[in-house]
Formats: sequence, C-alpha cells, structure tokens
Amino acid sequence: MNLTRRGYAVVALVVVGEVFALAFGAQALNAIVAPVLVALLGAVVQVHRADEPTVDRSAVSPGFPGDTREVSVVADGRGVATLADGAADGLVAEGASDETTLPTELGYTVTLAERGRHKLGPLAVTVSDVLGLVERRFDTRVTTNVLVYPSVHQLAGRERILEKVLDRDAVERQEFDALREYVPGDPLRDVHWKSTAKDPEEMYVTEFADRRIEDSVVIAASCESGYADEMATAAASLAVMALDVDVAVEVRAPSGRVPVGSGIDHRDEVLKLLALTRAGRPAGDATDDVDLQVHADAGGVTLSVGTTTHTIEELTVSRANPLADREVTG
Amino acid sequence: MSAGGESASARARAETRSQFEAAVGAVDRPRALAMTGVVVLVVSSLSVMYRLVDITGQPAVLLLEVAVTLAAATVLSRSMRVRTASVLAAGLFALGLVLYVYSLPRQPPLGPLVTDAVALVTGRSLLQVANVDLWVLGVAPGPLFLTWYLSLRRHYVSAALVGGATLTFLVLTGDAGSVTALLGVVGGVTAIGVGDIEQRGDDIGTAEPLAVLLALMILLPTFATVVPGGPSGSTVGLSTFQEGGTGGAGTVEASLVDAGDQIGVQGNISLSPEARFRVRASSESYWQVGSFDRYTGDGWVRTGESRGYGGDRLEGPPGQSRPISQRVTAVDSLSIVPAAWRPVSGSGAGFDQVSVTTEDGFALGGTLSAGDSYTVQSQAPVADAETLRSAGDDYPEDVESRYTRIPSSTPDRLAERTARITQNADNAYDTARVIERWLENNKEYSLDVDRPDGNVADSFLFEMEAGYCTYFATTMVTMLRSQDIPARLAVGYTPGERVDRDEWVVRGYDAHAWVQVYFPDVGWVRFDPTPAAPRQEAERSELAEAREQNRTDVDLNDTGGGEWTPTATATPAPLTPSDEQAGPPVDDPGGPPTITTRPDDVAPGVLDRVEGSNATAANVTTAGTTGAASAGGGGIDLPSREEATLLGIAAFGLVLGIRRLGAARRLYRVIWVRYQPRSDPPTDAERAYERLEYVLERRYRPRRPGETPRQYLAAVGADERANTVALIRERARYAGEVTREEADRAVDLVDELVAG
Repeated sequence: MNLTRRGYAVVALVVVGEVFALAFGAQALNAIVAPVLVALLGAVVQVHRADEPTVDRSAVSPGFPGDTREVSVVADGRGVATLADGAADGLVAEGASDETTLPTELGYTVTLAERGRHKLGPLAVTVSDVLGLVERRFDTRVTTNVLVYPSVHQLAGRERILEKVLDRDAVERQEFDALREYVPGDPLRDVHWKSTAKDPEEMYVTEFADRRIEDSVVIAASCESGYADEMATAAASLAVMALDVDVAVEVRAPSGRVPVGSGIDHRDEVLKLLALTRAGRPAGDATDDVDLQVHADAGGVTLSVGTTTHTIEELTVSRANPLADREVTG
Repeated sequence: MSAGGESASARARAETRSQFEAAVGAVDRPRALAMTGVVVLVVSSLSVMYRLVDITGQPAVLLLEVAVTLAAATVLSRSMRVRTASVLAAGLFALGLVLYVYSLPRQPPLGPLVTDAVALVTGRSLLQVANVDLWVLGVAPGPLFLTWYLSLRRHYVSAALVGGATLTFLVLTGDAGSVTALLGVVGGVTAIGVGDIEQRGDDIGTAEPLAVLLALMILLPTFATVVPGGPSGSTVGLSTFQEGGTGGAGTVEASLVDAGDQIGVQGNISLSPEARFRVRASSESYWQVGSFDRYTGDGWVRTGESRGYGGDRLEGPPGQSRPISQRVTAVDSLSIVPAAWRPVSGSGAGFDQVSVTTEDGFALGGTLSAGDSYTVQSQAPVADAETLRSAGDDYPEDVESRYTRIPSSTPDRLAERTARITQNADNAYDTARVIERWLENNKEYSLDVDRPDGNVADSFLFEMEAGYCTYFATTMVTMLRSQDIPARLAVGYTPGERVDRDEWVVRGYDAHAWVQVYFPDVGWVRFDPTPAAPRQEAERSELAEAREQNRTDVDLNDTGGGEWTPTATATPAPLTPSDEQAGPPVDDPGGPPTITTRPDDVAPGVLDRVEGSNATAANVTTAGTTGAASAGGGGIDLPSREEATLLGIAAFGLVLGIRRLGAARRLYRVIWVRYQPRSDPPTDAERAYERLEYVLERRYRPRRPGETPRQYLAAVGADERANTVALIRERARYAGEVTREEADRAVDLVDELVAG
C-alpha cells in the first residue's frame, strides 16, 4: 500500500495546515484539515480492507499468426481499480488496460504473432480508494495459455509430391466392395466414372471395404537452430495439403511425433506438435519409411521426395492460409 | 467465450444500476453531481465575499460581477484552451489587485503591500482592509472564472484546487467560519471523487463509498479538533462546531477591552470584580481604551493600520477643549492604555511600545505589570447644548465616509423606526439625545441574553427586550448612522469606585461600551444609552459576592469604604465636561487641525498591525457561528442553513453506510433471535422453531434441502430441548393441534437454548 501523488499532496496540505494553525491560530483551519485527515484515514482503511480480486480469464482458442482473438477478463472485488493484463512476447494485446470500478469485465483484442505457446496474464490490479489517495497493487496469478500454430501456406504440385502414395495405392484399388452415391466431400478419385457416366443424374463412388492403411505419408522435419519456424511452416503446409486429400499423415518433428491418422482432430494435433516443436532432428534413426523430408537451414527450406529435392519456395503458391476460411477449433 | 463470471458481475452491476437510476438518462448524472460539488465550493467562498461586500459596499455589484464571470467562463469553455484560460484568470486577478491599489487615497509602495498580503494570510481579517469591497470586487473574478472553466472542461481536480485555494485564503484571514469551510471541503471532495467516476465512465452507484466518507468527514471533526491552538470542540451539537466558543460565559471586559482590533457581540456574559488599575485624574471621565469604525452586523472592526508614537503632541479636538491629566497605575497586568478622550500626549511605562491607532487612541504593544504607571494628557471637547445643536452637518469627507456606513443587509425597518422615533428632532444633537433616552427607557438591562442570529442592532431594536452595554451602544450607533449621523462605538471603562477626590479604582466590571457622535468643529462627543441603575446594581452585587468569597484581587487598601462624594453621579451625563465642575475650557491653539505627520516608512497601508494583548482568538466570533450558550441561555439553537445542509449530507451518507454494512439487518436479527412476541399457539410454535434452526445454523451448519428436521437435529446432535421444540412444531404444523402451554413451552425452551 502506498500513497499516490494526490495522497502526498494531501499529506502536505495537512502538514502545512497544522503549521499555519500552530503559528497563526486560524481556527477554521480545523474545518479543512480535519475532514481531509479523515478522508486520508478512510482511504487507508478502505484500501487495507480490500481483498485480492478474483480473476477469471476467458479461454483463447488456438490460431495462426496474424489471427486476432477477443479476450475477456472478469475481475471480482470492490473498489476503484486499474487493471492491466500482461501478454508474453509472441502475443500483441491491444487495449488490455482499463480504469474502472470492481467488479468489472475487461475486454480486449489479442493478436497472435509468433508460433508457440504463449501466456496471457497475469492481471495486475491496482486498487485505490474513491478519492485516489492510496493505492495497493495486487499481482494475481491466473494466466491463460494461448497456442499459436505455425503459418500454413498453400503448396502446389500435390500429385508430384504425393505420387508415390497415390501410386502405391493405385495397385490396391482393384477390389472394391460397394458402389454408392456421391456425397459431397468424397474424394474425387473415388468416383466411379463408369457408373457415373451411365447415369445422367447421379454420381457414384466406390466404397472400399478395408481401410487403406498404406494411404499415408510420413513427413519428417528437421532444421538448423533458429529455423524452426520455417521448418514448422513447411511441414504444416505439407501435412495440411495431404490431409485435404484424405491421405493420412504421420509427422515426425524434433520434439516428438504424431502417429498416422487423419481427420480434423488429427490435423490439429499435427499443428500443435509443429507449434511447439523446437529446432533439431527427429529422434530415432528410422528414415527408410520417410516419404517427405523437410529440412530448413540458412540456405532455405528443402523438401526431399525420394531422390528429388525441391525448395519449398518454388512449391509455394501463396502464403495465404488455406485454412483461414474454415473453422479452426480449439 | 468467457466463463460464468461474466454473468455474475454483470448482474451485480445491473442491480446497482437499477437501484440508483429510476429514470433514463443516467449518462449525465456523475457530471451533474461533480458540477454540484464545484458549485458548493464556489458558493462557500462567495458567501464570505458577499458578507464582506455587504458590510462595506453594494452587494448587488458583486452578484452582477459573479454572473458575468460565470457566463463568460461557460461560453469560453467550449473554445478556449486551458493554458489561455489560466493566463486570462491570472491576468484578471492581477488587474483587480492593481485597480484596488489605485483606488486607495494614497498608493503605498510595494514593500508594505507585500507585507500586508503576508499579514492577511497569517490571520488578519479582510474586514480591516480599507476599501475591502473594492478589493473583493477586484479579486473575485479571476479565480472564479478559472474554477468554473476548469470544471466545465472536466478538470475537476484542478477546479477544486483553485476553488479550494480561494476558500483556504479566506479561512486563513479568519473571515470564513468553520461551517462555511467545511461545506466548501465537502463540495470540493465531491467534485474530485465524482469527477473521477465521470472520467472513468462508471455509473453513479459507485459513489456510495464516497457518500459514506463524506458523512464521516462531516461528523468526526465535530467531536475532535485536530488543529492545535484551538479550544477542543465541545460535543454539543453542530452549532458549537466553531472556533472561539468560549467555555462558559466570557466577561464583558474580555469581550470588549481585551479583544484587540475587532470585537464580536457575545451572548451570555458576566462581570468580573477584580481590580484592574487606579487612576489619579484632574476630573472624572470614562477611561477610553479604543473605538471602532466598521460595523459588521455581528461585531465591530477597526480598519486601517496603527502608526508609531514618537512622544510628540497629537492633534486635539477641532473645537474648544479642556485638559485632563491622568496618571494610571496598573493593579493587575494591563495591555491597554485607558485614557480620557482625546489623548494628546503620554509618557511612562510601556510608552516605548505604544502606537497610535487610526481612531486616534493609544494602543499598547506590550504589557504593563502591577505597579507600572504612565501619564496621559488629554483634551476633552467642550461644547454646550446650543453649540451642539447648531453644529450643522458639514462633516469632513473622511469622517462621513468612515462613520456612516452600515451593512447593506441591514433591514430597512431600522432606519424607518429611527426616523419615526426622532421625527421631532431636527438636528444631530437632539436626534442623538432622543435615541439615547429611548433606548434607556425602552430596553431592559440584562447580562443573560441569547445572541441573536442576524444583525445585532436590528434584533435588539425589534426582537430583544434586554441586553447589556454592547447591545445598547451598537444599536444606538447603527440608528444614528441610518440617519447619516457619524457615530462610532467606544470601549473602555466607566470611572470606577471613587476612593478619593481625584482617584478612582477601576475594576473589571467597569468595562463598558458607549457611543461617540461627531459634531463639526467640536469633535467626538460621548453618549451612553445603557441604563445606569441596573448596570450599577449588577456590579454591586458582583462585588458583594466576591467580597463574601474573600477574594483577594477585588479590594485594595482604600476601597470598600463607600464612594467618595459629593458628585457620585451614576452615569455621567452624556454631555462632556461642561456640566461638571472642572476648570474653564481652554481654547485649542491653532485653527484648522494640522495633519500629524506620519512617518514615511509607514505609509498608510491597508491593515492594522497586531495590537496590544491580542488575546486568544477565543473571544472573537465571526459570522455564521452562534454563541456557546453554555449556562442558561434558553432554547436550542436552530442550525443555520449551512449547518442543515451538512447535517443532511451526513445523514444521507450514514444511511448508506449502515446499509452497506448490513448493520441494520444484523441488528434486527440479533433482536429477533432473542425476543419473540407472542400471538397464537401455532404461529408461536413455528416461530420458535425458526429461531431454533437459526441458532443451530450459526452453531453447527444449515439444514440441507433434502434433510428433514428430525434428521437434521440428529445429525447436529442437538439436545433434548431442541427435539422437544421440533416435536411441538411438527404437531402444530401437521396435526394442526397445539395447546397454548405447549407453544409457550417451545418458546421458553428456545429462549433457554439461545441464552445458553
């Protein structure tokens, strides 16, 4: 608890008043000095009695660099307070402070800036009395983690990159179990053209009986120190591209691996792994079954598909996030 | 997106909002309240200024000036920048001061001006400033403009600072009373606190703690004085919340003679029988201590500044006069120079520190101890009734401007009544005699009076039946002035006990106030409207009582033997010495009076320096306060408007505070659990059970929703009595039958449980 500027001024006023009264005996000074002293004491009491406010911050869903999120922090308590929410590097918070009376709700916008897991908070609450003479600072402890995925770019040359995979399961496409009508979302390569051509109104899709466990790619990512962001972006772009055509993906990154799988949840897991990964090489020696090898260093990011090597630059169509118009949930 | 906390806090705020805002348009409320605070602060300063201008000039001019200033500030608040406005306000202030200085008859150099300004801040009343109405008119606009401008621009703290500085200045000069100052503080604090709320954008409900704080700020200082040098506040009501409430009735002497350069009219008062000094004089006279020119409505102030006395001969009265030489020996310690009017020279103890006041009397800078003595030569004006009647009304200009003014707020009825009383008198002398006699005959003498609230003279004339010398004299001077006759209040001592042919012993109770009226070519002539017999009676009884108590400071060797005769007149005749047996009048040498040279270094500034005793300010009461009616003094003083406002605010804040603490509810609960009023048996049984549950809840835990009373009582392990009560209540509630005895038993059992 400490005096504010106003508080010091008030103390000075009281002291000067006492001096004047002592020296010159102006009695009505009591009518000025005494109430002011009461106000000061009341301020001390009010601030002293204030409990640490309870803080509740809304959860923030993960997103990509450049995304903005609305954050709402509810502080419960009593009295006049100045609130300031902290944001780690990697997040940019705008309007994260306010001066108001508790209980209150502080809303502001945070921009996700850098890949990684960053902390929002803690909320610094400075409680003062009604006249602003005395204040007391509480550093609450409630923080919220925000996960920022790596940027995802749009890559071209899907057939070329995934041709091995597509070739591989071309062989196994001999048997099929059933024919059914096309449902929007079915991969186009499953369309049974022969039957579709015969029927002017419907499209038909083959439904395979067994799951194609071979219909997957293994992406391995490695990089020199300091190039983890580029590596993550490349790996994520590839993974998203593959998952979009319903190819299962296994990702091996320096920090860990995500086993093969597909679907939106799996994609989020991959993104999460790549968001948190550090620089280096994936653990383990098994490199035989790696289909796509991503490597980032000072020279740029390279993708090795079998014996061919491309740079990610030449494959990148646009840096716009292909997932931007789809819902990315937490 | 947020957790459930949002709804809880939003609900709480909505509740607060609905409690305090019934109507739409809550947006402007904080601003309106903050502006109200500023208005209160400004009004408190302006009320003091209004009083000053009322006493000395035309208050309507001040009001006009205030209106113009506020309008200008309002208009300019939209367009003018803060810096420009500050410069403008400072400029107005400086301009006002310069204009004031040029309005003085002689412009003093810078040095004395600065010292006078410093003296103001250290406690000299503005009432002692010459032309104080012009001073106020010059000084008021600048700070007022800035305060109002700043508050319109939402700089509430700065506005409160400027307004507060003005008020503080008036408090330091002693012209603002405690209640006024407190009201100003309340206004300023409101402006600051609510201004913060407005700037934060909160709603008005958050001002609740501020209201509670204001209540505490108003009430606590009533009970405790924080500032040294003042009498500790008595706890009786708000009307004793003031400086200078004398504990117990002061004495006449203290209220008049010891009070320095301003006196206030008191309430109850007493006489003190101690012997003060002894005079050997060539003739009997009233021993004058000083006189006052400015009437404030509830007191007198001497304006102007004393000058040093170099031992030279002062100017005498303009007409014929005779000398009186006197030798005064102090019996008690004295800080005054009693001497017959008009003193022209003096020497002896204390005369190295004597100064000459603007009223041409001597004032002592130090103190004489018992045994010290001094000599004074006086020239008493001499004129017979015919001379006085034909003196005319061609008064010197400075006399006329100084001694004919009464406060503008004096009711007109005073002048009208005076005119009616004196309608048959066609000259000043006869007018004065008529008024003097009228007051003697129509008003009673009493030391036990309630100090009136308004103008003392008006109250004494129309509402009071009795009073003492200060009241009589004040009223007579006011009545004379209302007829444009220059008159002033004189204070000092009546002759005292004559112990020898030319020697008098003067006691405390001889302190007196009387009237002096100016006649052209004659000078100041004494009149005394106080009825003499009752006064002497009071003095005699006081003396007898003191003698009975064997007090040692009352009698000297030669007193107590009865008055020396032959001419022991009660009140000396109002006319000066031509009626007495003193020697023939002596012409004053020289024609028109020469102006006594004033020392160059002491140019006529604007203030009086500290005079003489300057006893504690305990005897000075200023406007807005009522006397400390301790002993006697019937009735309760009604609070003034300002006090009522403060009490209202305090009450409001207290109510809010109690509500916040939930104290009322808790208090109710405490009573409810202990005492149960009886009605019909089923109700009694039910209530008894409720009390039982409440007690058990506080002691153990509340009953859970699904738990039956039996389960609950078993779970908390309540004793047999509780089970009995529960049983009785069950019967009452479900079986519908319970007897009176059973219900009583239940109540008694619960009473036991509550107690133990």
